[in-house]
Amino acid sequence: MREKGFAFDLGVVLAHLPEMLGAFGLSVAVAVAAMALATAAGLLVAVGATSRWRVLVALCFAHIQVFRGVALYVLIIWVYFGLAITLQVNIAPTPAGILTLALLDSAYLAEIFRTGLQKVDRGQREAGAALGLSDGAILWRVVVPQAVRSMIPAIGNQFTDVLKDTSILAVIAVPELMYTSQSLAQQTYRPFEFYTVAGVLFVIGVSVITYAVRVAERRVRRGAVRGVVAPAGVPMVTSVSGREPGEPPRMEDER
Amino acid sequence: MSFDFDIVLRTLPAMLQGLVLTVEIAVWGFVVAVVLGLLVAVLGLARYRTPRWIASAWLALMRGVPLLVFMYWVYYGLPQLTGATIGSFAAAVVALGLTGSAYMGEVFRAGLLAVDPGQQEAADALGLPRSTAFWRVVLPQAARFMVAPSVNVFVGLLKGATIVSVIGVADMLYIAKKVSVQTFTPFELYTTAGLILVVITVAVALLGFVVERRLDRGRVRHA
Amino acid sequence: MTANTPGDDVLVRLRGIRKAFGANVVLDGVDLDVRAGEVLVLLGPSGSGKSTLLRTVNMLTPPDAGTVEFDGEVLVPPASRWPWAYRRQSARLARHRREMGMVFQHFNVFPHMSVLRNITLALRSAQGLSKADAEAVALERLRAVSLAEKASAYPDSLSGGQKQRLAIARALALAPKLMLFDEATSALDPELVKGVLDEMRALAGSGMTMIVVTHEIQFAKEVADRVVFMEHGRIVEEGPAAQFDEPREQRTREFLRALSS
Repeated sequence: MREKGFAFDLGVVLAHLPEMLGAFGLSVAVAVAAMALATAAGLLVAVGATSRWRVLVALCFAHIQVFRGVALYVLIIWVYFGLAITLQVNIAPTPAGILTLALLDSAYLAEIFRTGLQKVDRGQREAGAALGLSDGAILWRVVVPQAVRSMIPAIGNQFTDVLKDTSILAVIAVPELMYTSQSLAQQTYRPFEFYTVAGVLFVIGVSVITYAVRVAERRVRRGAVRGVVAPAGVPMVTSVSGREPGEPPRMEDER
Repeated sequence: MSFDFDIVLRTLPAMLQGLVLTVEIAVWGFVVAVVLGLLVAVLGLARYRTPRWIASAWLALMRGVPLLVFMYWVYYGLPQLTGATIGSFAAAVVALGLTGSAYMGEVFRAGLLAVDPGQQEAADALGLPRSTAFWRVVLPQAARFMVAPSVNVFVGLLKGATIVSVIGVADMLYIAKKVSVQTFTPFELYTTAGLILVVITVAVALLGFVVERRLDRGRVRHA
Repeated sequence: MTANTPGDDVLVRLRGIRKAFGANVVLDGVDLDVRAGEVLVLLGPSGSGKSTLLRTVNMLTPPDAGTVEFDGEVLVPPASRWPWAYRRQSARLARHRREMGMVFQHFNVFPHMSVLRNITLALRSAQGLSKADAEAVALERLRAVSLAEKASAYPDSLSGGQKQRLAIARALALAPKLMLFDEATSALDPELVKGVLDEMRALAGSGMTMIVVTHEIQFAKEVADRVVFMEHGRIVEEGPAAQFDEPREQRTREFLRALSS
């Protein structure tokens, strides 16, 4: 047996690095799949929640409230073990995990979409209507492009949350990064090394997403200025520090 | 298959005891998160580059590592390094506190930045000591922007705290699992646990809403 | 280079003040003396640097180059890399700032404190007065601006004019040697301007040294001992208020004509 040293045992980590990276690949794949499903479902729920049919609105709000209120750990156990036992529905761990994540995050995304849509100036809808655009054209050509801009940071945050949440799928034995770290830690008696590596990989993944979101945000904002994303004539804040020349900046010189 | 209410009623007291444990962990984790978060926010707004760098590194780390990884890292990993074991309750609190510190740091930062910069200028122009300006002028006004997001963070930690049974804390889900293994009633017990948790999170969110309204009204109470 | 020779009554001495925000040069070498008891009005188009110049006097905007001397002492903006030195510098600056009151365009009263507490805060925490003494001073100041009956109200319930009078009272409570007014009436509804100008007029009459940035030309001519006209970060013309009935410089004439049209 390996000596229980205080130092970080790099050899053990390197020996199992391919497995760890492969498992992290699965984590990312699960997150992407769940995010794609959740985006589609979230959009439907958001459109439903802002629709004219009261029953639909109530159902969509219920969906948002319930799945934002429930803890992932509880939901996953409920889906994976609960459904299997009561309804004899047996889903393999990985699809069950993707489904659960998608269910939960569709609610968060729906709320992001809903508030994003409502934040768009009402005058924009009215202008579209005054031009005789159809409801669909108003929604997809006028409102959604403007809403997307304000939603990008929140969607990015949600994606990082989903990636981190894949770790909880370890409890139903999805062989993603956390599960793999657990089994390697048990095999080798080096929990510190493997959980540290898992943490580092997650930090890298989250940082990459955060960076990508920042780039996307900048790109869209630039596009908007050129009139690519937003219809022409939409007043937009292009510069946060837009103050009169010569006027003293307020924050910069004090902090 | 029918819903076995009997087993729910018989297990409920034990489950509620476990729930108290979960809430305690969430509360202590929140306290740690508030203290660390305030520290991180103040470092992040410092004049000097080094503290600002420390703050952003801290945020990137704490935001990047999933709660579950933290729990295992603290509970199983750290003892390997230090040689001293840590209780599962303490490990859960530390893990929640570390994760929460990133969120609270962001809440404090955003709240402090939301205060009209003219307020700090007025304090400066009056020659107030810097600590007075911070504690008496800026922070009380920032607090109003912090209440609702803080409640969100607490709700998040509460939901996160539901996972503590994986490192052996005898919480509500731990009891539900133990009993359902013996009685084959996981659906009943997990559904009950899930409903209780939803009720609690909604109640906390409502409480935050009420507190926020109170604070808003407080500003004009002498009107 | 202290110039506090006997008989020298210069209270504020600005030398070679430069300030740029990025590539935008806002102050381009300004020299200016303000004597004790003098009322100086800064005029100029927006973006001319007059507000920034005013803010360099109490270091809310520290200049990039040049010196600000107040009451014979050079003001140093806290900039040390070392926390303890920084603390010392900022405490010293705070002491000087307590001798200069400032009134802002947007009032900047503290919305979470009662009217009375807005005034007592600095008296108690910076000047160390007891609660009773501070409240006595504050009430006296509030009475002077006719706000005594609002002492326990919160700023939210005050009109813009009342808020600005509160801000004036707050600044005067520290018994400053100098008052800085940064477009004190620009954010007010027209019917509320007069009340605030009346307070400033009375203050000027009492012999207070004042530096006033304003667009109220009539008021400027009435109270100013000296008027300074600025453009592009430089002083274009300065002289007694009467000189601005017939300005020497073309730019000054254009500016005044544009304002009065």
